Amino acid sequence: MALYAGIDVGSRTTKALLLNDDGEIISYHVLFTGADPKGASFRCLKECLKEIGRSSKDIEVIVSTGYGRKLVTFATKEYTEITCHARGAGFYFPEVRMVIDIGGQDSKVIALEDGMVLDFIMNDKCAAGTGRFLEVMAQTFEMSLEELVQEALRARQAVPISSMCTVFAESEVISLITQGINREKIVWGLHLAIAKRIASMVKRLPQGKPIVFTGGVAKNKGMARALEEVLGEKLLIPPDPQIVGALGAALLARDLKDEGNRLNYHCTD
Amino acid sequence: MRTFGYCCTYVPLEVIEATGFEPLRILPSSYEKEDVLLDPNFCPYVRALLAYFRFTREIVGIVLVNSCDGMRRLYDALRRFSPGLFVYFLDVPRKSDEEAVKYFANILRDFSFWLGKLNQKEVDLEELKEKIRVYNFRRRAFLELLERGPKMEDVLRVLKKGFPPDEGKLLKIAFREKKGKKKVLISGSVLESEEVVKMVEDLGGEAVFLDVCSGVRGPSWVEESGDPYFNLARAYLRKPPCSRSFAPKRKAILEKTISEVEGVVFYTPKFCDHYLHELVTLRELCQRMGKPLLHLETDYHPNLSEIIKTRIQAFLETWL
Amino acid sequence: MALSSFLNCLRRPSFWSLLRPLVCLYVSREGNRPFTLWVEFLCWIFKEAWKREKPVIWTNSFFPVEFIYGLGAIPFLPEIFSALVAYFNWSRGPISKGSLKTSTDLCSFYRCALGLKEYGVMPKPDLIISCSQICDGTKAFYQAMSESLGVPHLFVDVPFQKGENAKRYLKSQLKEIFHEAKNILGLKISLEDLRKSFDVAKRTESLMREIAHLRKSKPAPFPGSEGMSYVSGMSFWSLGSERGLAFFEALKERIEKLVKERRGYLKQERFRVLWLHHIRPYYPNPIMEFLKERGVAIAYEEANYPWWPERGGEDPLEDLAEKLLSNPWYGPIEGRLKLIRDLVLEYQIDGVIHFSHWGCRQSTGGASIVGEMVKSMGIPYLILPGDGADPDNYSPGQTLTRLQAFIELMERRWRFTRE
Repeated sequence: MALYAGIDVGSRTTKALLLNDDGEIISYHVLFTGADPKGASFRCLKECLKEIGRSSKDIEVIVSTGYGRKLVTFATKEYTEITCHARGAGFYFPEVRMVIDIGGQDSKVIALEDGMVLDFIMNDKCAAGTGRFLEVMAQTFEMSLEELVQEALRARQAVPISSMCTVFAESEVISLITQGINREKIVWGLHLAIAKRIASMVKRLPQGKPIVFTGGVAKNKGMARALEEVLGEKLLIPPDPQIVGALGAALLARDLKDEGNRLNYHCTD
Repeated sequence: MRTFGYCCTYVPLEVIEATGFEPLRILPSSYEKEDVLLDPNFCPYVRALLAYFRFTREIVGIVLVNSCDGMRRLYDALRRFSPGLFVYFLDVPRKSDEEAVKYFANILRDFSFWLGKLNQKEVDLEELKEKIRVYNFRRRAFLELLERGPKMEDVLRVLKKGFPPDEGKLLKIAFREKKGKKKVLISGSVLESEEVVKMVEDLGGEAVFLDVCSGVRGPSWVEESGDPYFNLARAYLRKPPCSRSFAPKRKAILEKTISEVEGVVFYTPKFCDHYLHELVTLRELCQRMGKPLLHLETDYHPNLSEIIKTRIQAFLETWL
Repeated sequence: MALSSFLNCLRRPSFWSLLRPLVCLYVSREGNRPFTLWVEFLCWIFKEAWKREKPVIWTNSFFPVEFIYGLGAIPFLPEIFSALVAYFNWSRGPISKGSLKTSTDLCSFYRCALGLKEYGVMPKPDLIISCSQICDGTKAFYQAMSESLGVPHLFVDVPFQKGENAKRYLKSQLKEIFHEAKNILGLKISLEDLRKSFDVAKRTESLMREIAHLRKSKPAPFPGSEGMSYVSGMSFWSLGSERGLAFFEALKERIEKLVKERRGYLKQERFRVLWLHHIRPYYPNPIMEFLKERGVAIAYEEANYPWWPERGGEDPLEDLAEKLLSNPWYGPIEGRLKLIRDLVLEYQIDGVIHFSHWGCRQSTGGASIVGEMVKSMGIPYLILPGDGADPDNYSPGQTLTRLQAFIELMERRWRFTRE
């Protein structure tokens, strides 16, 4: 049976996913991109194939996405993460009207209607509003990211964090700690600050429900709760939010099959 | 009494009062800033104003001045997204010669009639002249006080409510200690927190000049006889100029002021084009005259951030 | 060492006299006559400016340059010069120098010009004449330059309002600066002498209007990337001169031919895009090629909207005042909204890109308001953040990703509406 592959090459992690002809997810894999995105995408795809005991000859179409998409020279076609996340979110929630994707290094909001992208906003210039912000803050508190999330979930109140910039927010947090302010409140305040950043991106787009939350940071329950509070909406989260981009790419690969596109060459085993 | 807001010292408050409104200087004290309509790299004061006007209904309306690109876009945004708020755009000329005075006098007359209609009050020239007299009295009292060396932190706090302050408020101003203190010029645009001045004064500096928008930037006197609109136009256009106006004499004034102080604190909100360009001249002047210059760029915070406090302290400890 | 000798070369009129025939010979091989005339014009300006036989006047882009030609002087536009320097990828050095004096939050064209002034590659002016249109930076920059160079600065404060009060104020200023300029430069001219260059300017404006009309045809005959570079440059710098007139005549001829032959500048035009804000990144970058490869034509650009009013006045200063007061980018945003709406409809636009130049608050402040209007017309809208002159403030991955996502959005919409 024919296979369709989607590869999402991010600056932090690379995700590969395989679909069958019926559009069912057969396997997927995540690994660190490291310094060789092309090698990483190749290895990631191989891992997927290994898991199900198939070879690359069975793959009809490969679509790449993510910042390293152009480096996947063995892909049939490349699409941006915007198109792929929109398509991937629609797989789980066909009625989706908005996708919020927060990755390690960037965040984006996509407005959709009937599976079609209407408009989008990207934040890839600034760490504030991305997973990186939380990592920096976890370090400031000398905690792991999981511990930080637990702290956020325990909080009942927040202290407002006002800085526009991650670097300044860090200084602000340190001064709050020295003032003896309760840690939970600061951590929750940080989550709300990110949520407010995202909310301002959301408000620039045509509004609609339901809203789907994707990307690595969607696994952070504290972040989900903060977003829900700021947006006043319940968010839908896919089973594995990190692979939504790769899933969307694989679905687009399958769409291309109908347009008679065939793989030009096989990647060598 | 109904309040009418303003943001700039080029607005003759006499006109607002004469039409029965109470003028209110808008210096939002919340951290909220508009981030949907405007990008983060936009004047933080304008973003704070836009956020403030989304929610407040304390005031009937506001008069904005043609002072900068930020204010022009604020005017566009407010008209679209704050319905129910009355907004007047006061086209203050950048020059102060007789032609500019003539132009501005007509603008002020129009502003006055617009306010009158809004407040359903006939515009009475005699009442306007009376307001000018009252304000002159206050101006005189205030300027006399300035001569005696008041604490600038108190002055700024009082001036935030409006210039010239009424006599009652003057009583709240204490006097500063001058002995052994180094004179500092505080220059810039919107200074929202008197903490800056307090810090300077607490750490050994004597803030002698406040060349800021929320400071002593009003005219010292308005002519009382003749057409009040012309008199107001003339006096307000010829008051100590800020960097926004086309006033070649501003450089000479700055030069003279800097020669009389030991250090300069240049306090501007981030992304302020007028002042960032003036920085070129200010740096040259300070370098030539051997005076230390501290440039603080802020995010329009109602309270001073730790970063800013540290820099002021370091400046005063090292240079003065 | 090499740098200072190179800079010395640039200051010699003979350099520009020699350069002209060489470059024109090279360029004329392409058969692009307007471009050749542009190069000739630049070489002529630089040669004349360094020769110093006529007074050199610095002015800003939106000041009607026909006034300068009318005075018999040579206009020099530091803002356009900065764009040229960026085009040759030489802007990094001047921008670093300029940024040291102020802050990186300022528009890179002004920081570049500040740095270029330090290098001394811009001919020192005898006078500076500028106006307040269309941003704060222009007034502040020329004021600072006047103080730094010790050169008088004549400034026209264009009122925000329209109407008789405004016109009177504006006219009085124009009259004043005419007499001041006369005195300062020792010119023996009268107001009537302005009429010649003003008439040439008006004839050129008519040509520009005709060109704007020709460019409405499908497929787009002329690339917007060139419209925003040398065509826009000529409209700012050469208006009122015979060379400017010749340029626009040649451009009109060229475009007329293309329209007659139904030739588009793209092999396959899939989408027609309107580019907003007067500039694009001028340093070498792949943006324009990227769009071209994907069949996206920049059918028209905001920079070349023919905004000047028809005027046939008796009084040249009255004419000039009317022109200044009609600038749609200076005043409430309604002026800009109207022109964008007209352009979207008349040029059959499929998508609008707003180039948000870092540090340009007059335009980016309105980008969201413009976006609301464009989207209400059912047209996709993209805000593309970037920098017009500073290559170090350009992120290729992020810029091209946004453009690609925008194109994908337009493709899927097109496919969807067809099915």
